[in-house]
Amino acid sequence: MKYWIAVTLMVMAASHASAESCDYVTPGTVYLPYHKGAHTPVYFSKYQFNLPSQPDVLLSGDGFMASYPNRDYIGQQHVNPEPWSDQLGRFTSRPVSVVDLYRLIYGILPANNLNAAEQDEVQLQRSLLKLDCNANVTVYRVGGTVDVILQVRQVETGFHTLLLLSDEGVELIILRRPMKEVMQVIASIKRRR
Amino acid sequence: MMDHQDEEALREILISWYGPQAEHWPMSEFMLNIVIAMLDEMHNCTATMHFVPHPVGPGNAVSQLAKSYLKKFLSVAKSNAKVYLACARATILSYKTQVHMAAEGL
Repeated sequence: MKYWIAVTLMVMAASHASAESCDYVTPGTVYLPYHKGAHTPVYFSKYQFNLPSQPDVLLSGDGFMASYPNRDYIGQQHVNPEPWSDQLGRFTSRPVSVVDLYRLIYGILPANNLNAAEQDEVQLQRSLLKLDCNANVTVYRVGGTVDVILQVRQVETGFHTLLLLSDEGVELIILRRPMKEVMQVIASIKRRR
Repeated sequence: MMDHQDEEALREILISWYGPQAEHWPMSEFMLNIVIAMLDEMHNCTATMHFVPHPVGPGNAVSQLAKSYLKKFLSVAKSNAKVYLACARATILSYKTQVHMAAEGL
């Protein structure tokens, strides 16, 4: 009996350790040539991309949205930094902008020089955004100039995330489209003159 | 399945997250399913929701919740809407397009 209790405890400890060690790994960079898409260009902030196929409906609101059949969509929004002050205020060792916060969360900036509370905050955000050792994240350098972070989400969550991080701010593109079209969007992103 | 009280609770959650534009959004079961999926993703933000019955598994989350549990679920979620916003703004932004589409009936 004692043997089985010991074995059970060892298995539980091992699985707990395994769960704790499932840390997010900073993604590598993949170079992608620019490729102009065949459909309508979308201008936002200082960037543009082409829609990968013809949408059913176009909507404007806080950003741009294109609706496709079967509740698919492509949405772009500029992330307004103003409402983030409460979250950014949790970083006390140095000032952190919204862009830096995303860079820390996605591992573009190292988090190891943050204090313990700040590292906890980054870890919480990673857990909320499903960023662990199983996350499918890639940084694409498109046309040699524009860095785009792609997070491919699990099928059941249904959407992919694109992030354009620059000193001018955060541009967020959410896509619920086939992977082929997601890649077409990424390849067509460029900075406007 | 939602009654007027449920719809108003759902509306208050969405107003907290997306601002006054949500005041005029139609509250549908599809919208409720999106919000339930969001709350599921944000469960690390507060322990309060851990004690409320959640839908389990894939499929229509609303149909898995008994009526009385749905009321409790929405009530607790409404009370914690601002906690979620302060904790999980990036997640809430990620769902913005999907929520807008649902509001437009798309």
